[in-house]
Amino acid sequence: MTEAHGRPTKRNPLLPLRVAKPLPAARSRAALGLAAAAAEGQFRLQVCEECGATQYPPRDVCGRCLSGALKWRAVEPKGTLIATTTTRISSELYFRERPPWLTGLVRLESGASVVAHLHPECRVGGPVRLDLKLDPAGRGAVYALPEGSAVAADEAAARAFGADPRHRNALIVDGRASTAPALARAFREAGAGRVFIGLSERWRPAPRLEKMEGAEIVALDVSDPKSVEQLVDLIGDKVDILVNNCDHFRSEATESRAAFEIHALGALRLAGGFGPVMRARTGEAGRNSAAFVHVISALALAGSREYGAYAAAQAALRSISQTLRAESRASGLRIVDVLTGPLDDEWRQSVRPPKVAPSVLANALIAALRAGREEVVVGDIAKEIHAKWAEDPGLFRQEQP
Amino acid sequence: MSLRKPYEGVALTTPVTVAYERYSIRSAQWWIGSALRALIDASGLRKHDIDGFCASSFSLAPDSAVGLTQHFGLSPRWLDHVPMGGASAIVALRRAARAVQMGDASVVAVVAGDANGVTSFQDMLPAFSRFAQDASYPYGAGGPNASFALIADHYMRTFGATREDFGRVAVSQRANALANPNALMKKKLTIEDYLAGRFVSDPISLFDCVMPCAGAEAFLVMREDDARALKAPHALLRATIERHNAFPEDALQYRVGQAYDAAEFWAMAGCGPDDVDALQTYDDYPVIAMMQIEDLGFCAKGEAPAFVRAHDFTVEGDFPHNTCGGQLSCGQAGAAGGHLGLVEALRQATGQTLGRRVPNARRVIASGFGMINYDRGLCSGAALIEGVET
Repeated sequence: MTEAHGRPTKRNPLLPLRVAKPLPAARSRAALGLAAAAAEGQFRLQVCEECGATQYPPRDVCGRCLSGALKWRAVEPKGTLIATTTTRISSELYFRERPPWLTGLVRLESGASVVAHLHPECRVGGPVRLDLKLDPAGRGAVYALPEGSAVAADEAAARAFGADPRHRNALIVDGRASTAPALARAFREAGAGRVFIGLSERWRPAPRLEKMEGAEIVALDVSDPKSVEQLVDLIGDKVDILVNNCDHFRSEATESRAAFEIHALGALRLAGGFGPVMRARTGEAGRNSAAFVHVISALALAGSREYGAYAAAQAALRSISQTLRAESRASGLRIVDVLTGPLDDEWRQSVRPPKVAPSVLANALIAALRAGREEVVVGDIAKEIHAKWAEDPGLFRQEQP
Repeated sequence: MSLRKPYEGVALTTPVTVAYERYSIRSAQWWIGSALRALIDASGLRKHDIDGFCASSFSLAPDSAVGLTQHFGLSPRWLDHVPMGGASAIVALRRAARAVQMGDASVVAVVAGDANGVTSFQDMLPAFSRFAQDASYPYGAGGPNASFALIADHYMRTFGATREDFGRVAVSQRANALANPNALMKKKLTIEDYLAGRFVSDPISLFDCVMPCAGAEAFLVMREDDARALKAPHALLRATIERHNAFPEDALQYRVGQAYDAAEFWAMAGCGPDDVDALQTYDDYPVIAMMQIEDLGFCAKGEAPAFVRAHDFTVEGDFPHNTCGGQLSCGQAGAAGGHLGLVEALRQATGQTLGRRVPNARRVIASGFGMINYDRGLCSGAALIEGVET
């Protein structure tokens, strides 16, 4: 289980597709808080506002003092492994496909007992570090790792819970965007298989493409439904990770329609074209589809006076991403939002810093895929916007200039 | 000392078992109704003499005990529904005892039954409880096997129990079961067979697990005078306790709720562990049977491994335990699994056994345990009954 994940063998096209086996997704509303934390890469549990007791499993009232004031708080993700089991016979098809499955009971320093997925190097009696992951059903799952040792990130269960680009094929939708070269490089460095780069209006010069060695250029114009359909026909079943990095940052009112055409309608076309094929391939043995990523400006949350149509199109993109997430949950296809501050490129010359270097965005995106997150916020501007919005959306609305 | 009023004057009669089936196309309503019919046939009572009714079942939905009254044409003046799994029988008995003591009912039929279609068990697991749905089932979906595997792993590490110790419990119960025509397991089991059983969820292996099945168990509770008048072989309730979520501070379950109330239990009984002729524990897994042996006081905490090595648990042995074969050999008929031990205790104490009887057995304990809501079984209880010469 710990050996490095090798290059997957090619699928025999004569054999039927191995379909994804869903994991149970029913949870109480309280337990969805685990998924909310996991989506952001945080470790949070409910803590009683009145008596301070840490709760697990998630509750509606405190198990100690019966207060209804339970808040999700960052909790020290440390505990001791008390017992383990190796389940060899499971009543779920997902686990039957992957036996044996390791779980254990971890006693948290804060007092709760937690059943967790277990890294095989964890030892009973020893300290463990807990991580919250989104499981293939998109629900929060506790994963225990041995404390203080660097463990193989490639371990099978961890890989199942993430969308590691290693050996997976990627499609970077917009080859003309300033993020394209950095994304191509980051995927290559992360050990991706084939990297496809979409390019619209191929007759136009594309100086950025010269920096993308090893990438395969494919014709793609998201504003043209036929173009999307043709690319789905051509490589739809080869795309494991799709990154919608389309960028049309303009202030002119005459560009409003284009902003929606590219960011909103374009996203719908990509979701409608690639979504079904990718959802059907999440269960494939070896190389399977894993993630659909949207690069979204944090202006989606804040709005903008100078770039109103662009911000509105970004808000539409954020909403489309959320709908695609709901549509894809049962398949295990992860939908990732990369919320970014202003990029450091020629289209944003007049925007004040701090800005986000394309390489920083690309690296954050790869890390989010590996960790299996659904949301990552990149750059100080975006982090500030997101923090204010998350703390109090009503207050945040009032403070927009 | 306890302010609890004594349970005097309460009699249990008419042990009933509706023959188990591995898979059945019959509903829980059918199994419970058939048990009720058998109670009437065996006791000589008429249906309307039964003025109290208590049902336990996992597979009645969307019905509860209420719907059963109309289904069966009963008009009870006292009605209860006890959804506490392996502790249901003890809890039901305790409530029925108070009802007949106080005159709220004259005759209470305590019935448990469950259906078992081919996929019933796996259909039930994902939503067994909210905490299980949220925090244990999604972790490998091993169901109760995986949960009790963690408990067994911890018990073995803490108290030095071995698989052979668990095997002794299972093997002696199989020997008891071979004389019981209702036991679904018909083949002799040796310790070698046990040890060769494949792992299901380590350290739980094949012969640690019960086989889900369909079936029903039932008995009547009435005042002692009424049992005498009916000339029904009966046993009197001498002591009984129940406890739920007993030790929430324990990181992992190594003791059961009986440990909380054992002193009061023996004070109520007016006797000690050595005075008991047979013990029926709730045996969803041998490790849980061993915890009940410890926590009821038959040996000290952590000494059940030594205890099983030193004693013979068969009907003819020096510590007759789960004398009908228990759930490990009879099968687990859902909630009726909780009634199996109490019905067998009543059979032993009144000489109405399906298989072999412990010679002159009179004082018998039935112990209940149930409902692994998340990481531990929450319900527990015990009853000591004493057979009366009629």
